[in-house]
Amino acid sequence: MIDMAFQLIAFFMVLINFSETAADQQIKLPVSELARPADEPPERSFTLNLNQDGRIRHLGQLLEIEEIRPYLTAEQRAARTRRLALGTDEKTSVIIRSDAACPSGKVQQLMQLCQQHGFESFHLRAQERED
Amino acid sequence: MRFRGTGGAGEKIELQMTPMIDVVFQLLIFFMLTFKLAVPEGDFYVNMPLVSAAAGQPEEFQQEIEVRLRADAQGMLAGVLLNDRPLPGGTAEEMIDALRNEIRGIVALFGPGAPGEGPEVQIDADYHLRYQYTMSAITACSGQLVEIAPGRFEVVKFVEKITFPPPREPVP
Repeated sequence: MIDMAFQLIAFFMVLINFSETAADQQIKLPVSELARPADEPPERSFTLNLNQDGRIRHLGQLLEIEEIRPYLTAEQRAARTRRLALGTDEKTSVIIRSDAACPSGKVQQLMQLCQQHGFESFHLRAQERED
Repeated sequence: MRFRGTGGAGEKIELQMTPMIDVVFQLLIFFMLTFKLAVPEGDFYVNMPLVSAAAGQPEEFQQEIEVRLRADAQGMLAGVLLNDRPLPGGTAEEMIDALRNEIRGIVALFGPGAPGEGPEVQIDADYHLRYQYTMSAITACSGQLVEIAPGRFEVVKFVEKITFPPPREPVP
C-alpha cells in the first residue's frame, strides 16, 4: 500500500507545475476543431491574455489595450538587442490568448498596436474541441 | 522528570511506520488537490507585416478573398459575406458551414498553390462581434477535419494566409 502511495506521489509531483505560466486560466479560449499544439513552438514569443472585456492581464493588473504600450516597447527593445547581439534575423512572435466573448475589434486593435511596435508574427490561440 | 533509560549496546531502533504513512497521505492529498488538468491549446498563425503605402509595388497575382462578418446588437453573428455576396444560413453554424464550403470550392478551383503562395483571406469583422465567431471563420477558412477511417481524422488544409484589416469603429 505504501509503495502505491509513493507511486502516486511521484506521479503528481512530476505533473504539477508551481511556476506561474504565461497562460491565464481564467480566460475561456474560443473552441476550434483544428486547434492542435504546434509541432515547433515559436523560437521567441510572449503572450498577451485578453479577457472578455478586452482588457489585458499583465503582472497581476488589468490594463486597457493602450496601456500595454510600455511593455510592448520594452519587448521591442529586447528583441532588437537580441538580434544585434546574436546577429540573427529571428522574429519575436506574439501569442494572443483572447476570451471567446471578447469583442473582435479589441483583438484587432491589439494586433494593430503590436504591428506599430514592429511585431508581425501572431499566433491566435484556441482551445481544442472536445468531442 | 522521567527519562528513558539509555539502553544497552544491543538496543534496536525501530522505524515508526504509522506517522510516515500519515505524512505520505498528507502529501498525496496535497498534490491531488493542486493538480489541474490543462486543456490542449492550438495556434492559428497570422503574419501581418506593416506595409507602407509609399513602398507599394504591384505583387504577383494572388487570389484575395474578403470575408465580412456582421454582428447583431448582442455581438452574435448576424451575417457572413464572401466578396460582398451574402452567404445562406439562418444560424451562425449554418453560415460558417456555408463559408467553409465556399472556401473549399475556391481552393478546389484555383488550387492551393505552392507553399506560401496560396489564396489570401482577409477577415473583416464588426467591432463588437464575439471573438468566438471570428475564430470559427478562421477555422472554416483554414481547413476541415475529414474522416479517413472510422475514428481517424485528417486535416485538409484550405487557406494558409489569413490577415485582418484595421479594426472598424465601434458602433455606439
